[in-house]
Amino acid sequence: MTRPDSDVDERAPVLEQAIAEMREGVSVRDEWRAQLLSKLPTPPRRRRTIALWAPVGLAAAICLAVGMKVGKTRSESSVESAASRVRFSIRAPLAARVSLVGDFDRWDPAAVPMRRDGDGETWIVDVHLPPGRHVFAYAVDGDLKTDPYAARAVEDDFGVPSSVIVVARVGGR
Amino acid sequence: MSSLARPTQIFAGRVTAAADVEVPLVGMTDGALVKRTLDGDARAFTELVDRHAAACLRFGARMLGDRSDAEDVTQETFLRAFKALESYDERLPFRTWLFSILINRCRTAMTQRMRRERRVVVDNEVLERSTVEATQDAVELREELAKAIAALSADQREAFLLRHVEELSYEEIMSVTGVGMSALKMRVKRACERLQQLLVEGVRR
Repeated sequence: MTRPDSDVDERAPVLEQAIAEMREGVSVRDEWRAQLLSKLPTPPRRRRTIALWAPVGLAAAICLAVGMKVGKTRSESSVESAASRVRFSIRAPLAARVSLVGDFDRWDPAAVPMRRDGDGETWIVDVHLPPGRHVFAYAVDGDLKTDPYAARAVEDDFGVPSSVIVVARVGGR
Repeated sequence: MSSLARPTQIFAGRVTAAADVEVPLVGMTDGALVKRTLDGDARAFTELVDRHAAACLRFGARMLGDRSDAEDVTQETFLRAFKALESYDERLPFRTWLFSILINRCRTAMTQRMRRERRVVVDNEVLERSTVEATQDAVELREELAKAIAALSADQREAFLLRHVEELSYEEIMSVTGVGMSALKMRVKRACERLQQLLVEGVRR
């Protein structure tokens, strides 16, 4: 019987030879290195840290952006609130850890953790956002989820889809 | 990292005093090099490239079976690492952090390849680049090996290469792949069994 927790420490000679072969270094071409280094001085975009997170889980993402001040539940991504207090929520019953990431928190998954709501399935967090356009996503067990109710950001420069929320000034100020 | 605002100094060309001082980088830890990069010393990131490019290229080449694709994903990896350097957490070895990016780039490349309905091919260029004067037997072994690696599932290949070729610990592999310990060990075990079977069959032919 195969034990899932058993490592393969005793390897056959043919496998040992193969591993030794695969560990041999691969040469770095000078042209490739020069090309890479020439591309480095690009403007910083302190946004995404998702590279640390491997995709995990299949939690369904359903999000509502709620204007807390006016007490309305909105399914669109534009929120009007004098205090710019915005509730983000996502339904992810199987998730162990969910956080809100966006340009307002430098895409730091540790910055804005979300908490389970009373139903045990929805994760919520309230944040204060200044009026304007904000790009965001949900980190569900390390996997970024967009907001299906919000517009998709077009500048997914890291290959990661993200959403847009527009916080408007109350009274058109 | 604590110095979140520092990278601007690099890209805006306002190099800090720290970068003006030519200090030897060779003996520095990767974490120290990251800090120097964030402090505006571009040489520090070059040193990181020189330390880790070969391993990244090796993983990419074994994973994708193609030298050119490996160069592409490795270049993307370093560029993304550079942009995201301020998010690097020193508690994780830099190489492991780098591999977390590389793995995602490889996965993306494989997805794109599947869309193009291409198949993993034997990396002849890697075979030809060997620094060892290869005997006919060694060449045949490498060919069999490349075919055997390509015959593994992507998940098994990834887990096997990270564990036995790049020699990451299971904890590190878990952190960069998001796969649980039991599943990882099973993948590695199955990969070893399958590789061994394929290689033995190849030798017998």
